[in-house]
Amino acid sequence: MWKSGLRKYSAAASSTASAGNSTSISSTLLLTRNPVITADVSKFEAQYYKYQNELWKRLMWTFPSWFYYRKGTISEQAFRELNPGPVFNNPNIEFPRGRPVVVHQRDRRFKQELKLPKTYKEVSQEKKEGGETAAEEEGAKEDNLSRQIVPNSRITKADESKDLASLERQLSRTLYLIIQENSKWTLPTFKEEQVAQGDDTKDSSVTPLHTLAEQGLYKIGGNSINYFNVSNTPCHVHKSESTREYFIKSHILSGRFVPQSESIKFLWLTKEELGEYLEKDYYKEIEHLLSDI
Amino acid sequence: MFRSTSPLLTFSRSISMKGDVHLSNRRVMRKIKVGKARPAIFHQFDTLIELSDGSVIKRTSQAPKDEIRMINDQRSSSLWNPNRSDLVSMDAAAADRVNKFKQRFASFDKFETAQDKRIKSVQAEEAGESKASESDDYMDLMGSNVQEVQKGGKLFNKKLDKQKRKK
Repeated sequence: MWKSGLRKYSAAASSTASAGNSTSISSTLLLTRNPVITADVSKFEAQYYKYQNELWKRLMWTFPSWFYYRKGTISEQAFRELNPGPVFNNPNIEFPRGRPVVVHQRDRRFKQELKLPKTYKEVSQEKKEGGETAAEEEGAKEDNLSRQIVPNSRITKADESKDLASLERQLSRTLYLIIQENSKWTLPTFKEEQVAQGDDTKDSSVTPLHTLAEQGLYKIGGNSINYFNVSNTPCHVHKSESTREYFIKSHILSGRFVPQSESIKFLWLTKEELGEYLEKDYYKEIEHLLSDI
Repeated sequence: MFRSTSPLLTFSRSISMKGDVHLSNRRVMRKIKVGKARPAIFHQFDTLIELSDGSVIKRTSQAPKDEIRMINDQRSSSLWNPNRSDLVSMDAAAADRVNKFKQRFASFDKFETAQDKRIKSVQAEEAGESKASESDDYMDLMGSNVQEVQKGGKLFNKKLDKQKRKK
């Protein structure tokens, strides 16, 4: 059973081995870089999530500050200074927008918004605009463990410079590796003969497709790639009159593609960009293999 | 079945259900109408967490901390990054309890091993001799007519005591 499977999914060394056919079998590598950050949401989705988030905040209970800050401590004092209590329901005052309902230092008519004491000195907006000294101080405290946490930008330098060969572009999308062959962009395809000339001089009649793909990748892209092969079974076959190209799917985990000769050109592209670079019929055939995210 | 037949159990129930006769010490359970139940939503803060490699994650937390900086996490642990060689040295100084103990009592361990080695070498030399003669070696050093001092008192033995009483 497995032997037949092996024969099915492996390239034949001699052309006479596979039932006398003269078709050449090759393995095509579908090497992907998975998204690093969360997917971009559409405008409608963003609005929906914002609405749900605000609803959630309104339904939240009062923050039990007495539980987290023990009375009489410095941290409790710092918290209290940042969050002064609301105006109490004074019977002598007229409230045109409704009387406050204060329970546990919180007006229950609205959502509770709290400020928390920071580990760093907060710089107000006026100061930031006014002097450069504040910026210099920040630069000096770059290694400080108590510095402010600022989320990284979703757009990287590679995005700004439109460097298509960088692995650090389009962080929210899946990227695919393509290389240029005979002034034509294709997915990297490896025939067995090419590899057999190199280091593999064994007398074995067959080389598994995934090994073929791996050897080919290391040959063109160097050894500094750590990749994960999804399956030894190909996910697709591209047929033409004399060729059978089996698609082997794998993910790049770390390292990077370093072209081993100057003639090799490569790009990391998203699904839409692949449509511009690959041949139309070819892209249509493999479109369903590519991820939309 | 059993509950309905035994009269004691029915009387011991302190909460009366709807339609039961209300007596003084019995509390009536309020029925929760459809759509009136509210889930328990504790107050949550939006928290930014910076991992050791500099990536920032946004999540919610009940604890009053809106910025957390991790020093040791999966991004810097050799357990999750088996292919990175630069992390091994960091991991060796890990603050786990066994390592701390070893660091503290490393000198004792060395002493013990040295003594073990000495004993082993002695044993290797006197491989032919019996165990009894080995234990007597130290007694010879003390001199002649030496008796072993009994350490500790005699322990009370329940069985022996009972046997004595029977006699």
